Amino acid sequence: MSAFADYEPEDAWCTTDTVPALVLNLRRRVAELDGGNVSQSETLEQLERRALTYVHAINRELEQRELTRAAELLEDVEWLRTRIRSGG
Amino acid sequence: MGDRYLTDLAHVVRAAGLSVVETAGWETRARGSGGYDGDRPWCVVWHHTASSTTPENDVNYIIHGCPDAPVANLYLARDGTVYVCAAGACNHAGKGGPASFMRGTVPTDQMNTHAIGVEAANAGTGERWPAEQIDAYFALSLALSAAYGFDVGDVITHGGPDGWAPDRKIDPATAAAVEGEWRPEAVTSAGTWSLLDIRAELELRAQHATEDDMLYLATLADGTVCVVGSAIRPVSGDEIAPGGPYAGLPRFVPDPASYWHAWLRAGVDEYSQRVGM
Repeated sequence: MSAFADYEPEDAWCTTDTVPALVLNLRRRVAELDGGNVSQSETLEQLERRALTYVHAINRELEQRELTRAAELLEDVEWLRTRIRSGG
Repeated sequence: MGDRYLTDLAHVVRAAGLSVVETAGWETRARGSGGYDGDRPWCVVWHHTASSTTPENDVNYIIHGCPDAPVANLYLARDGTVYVCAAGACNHAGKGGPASFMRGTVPTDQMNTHAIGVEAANAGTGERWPAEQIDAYFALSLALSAAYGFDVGDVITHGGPDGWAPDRKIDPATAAAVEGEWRPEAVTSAGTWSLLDIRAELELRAQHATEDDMLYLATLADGTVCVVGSAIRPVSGDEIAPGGPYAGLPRFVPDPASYWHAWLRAGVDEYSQRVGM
């Protein structure tokens, strides 16, 4: 069985999903930035910190796609944090 | 959790004249959120698989292999065969939007719970799109819009400014590799098909389908002969005479007690009201 070359975890993101499903999706997106290694992060703060390292790593000449992924991930971490604070 | 599963999906596709393969368990398959809510789905998302493998491998990935499976409701093979994969909402569009359709605006990041996702087999890097696959794509989309009551143009892709997440994806592509009479314009350097071209072609094919459906002739009470189908208009004597465009069509005379008679009668009544007879 082969994969679709363009499939990415962002394709499964839906803001009406449960919080656990959304956190899992964010972790998989961080794992994508890690180059496929499974992230060990357990909290949103860790996810955010790690995503930020990618956003600030412009001098590492990240590809535009990676920068977009990191920026969107940060937006979604913040959005999810707000949702959890307002009762999930 | 949505509770609307499109359990008539295989029937809808088959009724459009397309070859259908039903995967085991498709009637209850869905993403974590389950079926669709309310009057959804509202639209169809056209994708390509970005793969070069067999239908069996692609379908396996859609319903089992991908970590986010199922990732499409339907799979369109290169020969035009449609594989029915899931009746509930699927993970194929994800982040993006918003986008507006006849029934409303799909909010940002919620396309998966509003759309039917079709994955068409193509590598997307210049592999030819056979005419039979293109024709099947249009026929499939038209059948879905008719069956679920949304507009024929309620489709979306990743292409262009009106597309869903055009910064993440390029499909369907490439435009230059499309075979057959319809040739879409490319809207990206990667060859993404123009969404405007897709919608225009759908409108065109929908009109042709309507005209092709007008195969039945009925006679009004005053003797006027009408062509009756999904659309109704009167035809002149010249049109049904030998040499006329409808000369070869059957004169359909239904049994007065039949369903068809009631259907024709209703159509004739509608026409009569429209022209003030």
